Amino acid sequence: MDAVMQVASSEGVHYLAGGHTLWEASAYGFNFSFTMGLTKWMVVFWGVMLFMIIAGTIGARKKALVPSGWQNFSEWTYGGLSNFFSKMIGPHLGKTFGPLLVTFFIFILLSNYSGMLPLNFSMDEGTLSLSNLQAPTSVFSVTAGFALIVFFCTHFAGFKENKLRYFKFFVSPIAFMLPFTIIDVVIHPFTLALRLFGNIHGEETVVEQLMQLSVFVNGWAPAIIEVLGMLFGLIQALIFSLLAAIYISEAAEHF
Amino acid sequence: MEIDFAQMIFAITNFIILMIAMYFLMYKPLKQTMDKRQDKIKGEIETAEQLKADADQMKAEITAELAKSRETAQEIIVRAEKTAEVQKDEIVLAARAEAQKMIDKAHAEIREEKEKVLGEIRDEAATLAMLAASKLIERSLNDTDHKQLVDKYIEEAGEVQ
Repeated sequence: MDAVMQVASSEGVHYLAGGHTLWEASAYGFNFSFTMGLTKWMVVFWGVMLFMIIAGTIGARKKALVPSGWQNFSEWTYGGLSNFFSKMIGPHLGKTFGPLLVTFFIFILLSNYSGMLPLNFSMDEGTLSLSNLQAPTSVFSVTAGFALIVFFCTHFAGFKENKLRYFKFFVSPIAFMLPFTIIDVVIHPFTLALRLFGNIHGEETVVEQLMQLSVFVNGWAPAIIEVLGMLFGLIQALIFSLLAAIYISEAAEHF
Repeated sequence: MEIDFAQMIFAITNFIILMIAMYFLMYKPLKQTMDKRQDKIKGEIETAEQLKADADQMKAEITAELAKSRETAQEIIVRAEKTAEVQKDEIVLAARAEAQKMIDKAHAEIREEKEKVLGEIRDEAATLAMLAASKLIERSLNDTDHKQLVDKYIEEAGEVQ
């Protein structure tokens, strides 16, 4: 039980380089910090980025009239997602925010799945051991960063579509609603960040703990959780991008 | 819950870089390819529709033309039949008239011939009568001789004839 608590509280952030905390503060149960350093999940982040860029470039390189193979898959993926979000937020907003939402979906999906790759080499007391990578989406700083992007995009869309009339939304229908609408505006991205972080981090923690506990036959119990993790990874990616799309279209269609 | 602002900034910047890279390396070229394909297919469908419309129009024109030709042919046949009928009547009439003419001519010729023959007979008879009279004058005849003479004369006339 102690081990579970410890892992959950430390969030398993290991610095490969650096790690000097320049600033630290604590408020409302949050520990804020500013630490310069390279963590393992940052490498995974770059790996996912690199994979997406290479796969996307290869997929878009061939411009055959009748697509086949990887080009077909790329077109299917991009076309399908782009259409899906365009239908949801309208073709006008889809033109501006389509790439953002498509990138969010693909990146979060691949990030979630990257946490299942057992490629984390570590030397413990002279023996090489393998464990799962840490998914970037299981770090609250990352999901909070994504939520911050959604937050800015939401209000950018609202301001762009409605100009100054957009601010009337905060005091509608009456000025009394102002505190509540402000809470609403803050809560939306906060839940977005917390939901993604909680699900992925929870799933990874469970797998990690099951790997360590000897009461289960090694491998079988985590495998079941991994299968569920495949499903959760897809669902979480979909929910994050879907809610981002809904928030953007809501802000844009106020008046 | 830990929030590290350095990590947050890392995530945000890297995500924005990823989005821009993906936009220029994947989304934009893919969209161009797909749009181009869509335009081509749309254009080809339009061309096909245009061709079909043209073909339909041509078919209608040909059908109309055919019907018109058939009508004209029918008209020509009717007219020809009418003309033939008229010509037949004319020919028959002409033939009849010709025949009548020929019959009339034949009749006239026969009559003429008859009259000519009768005239000749009459002349002959007159000549014979003259001859007989001269014979009678040449010989003084008695009643018995008279009969013989006439008979003889008739005989001679028969020989002459």
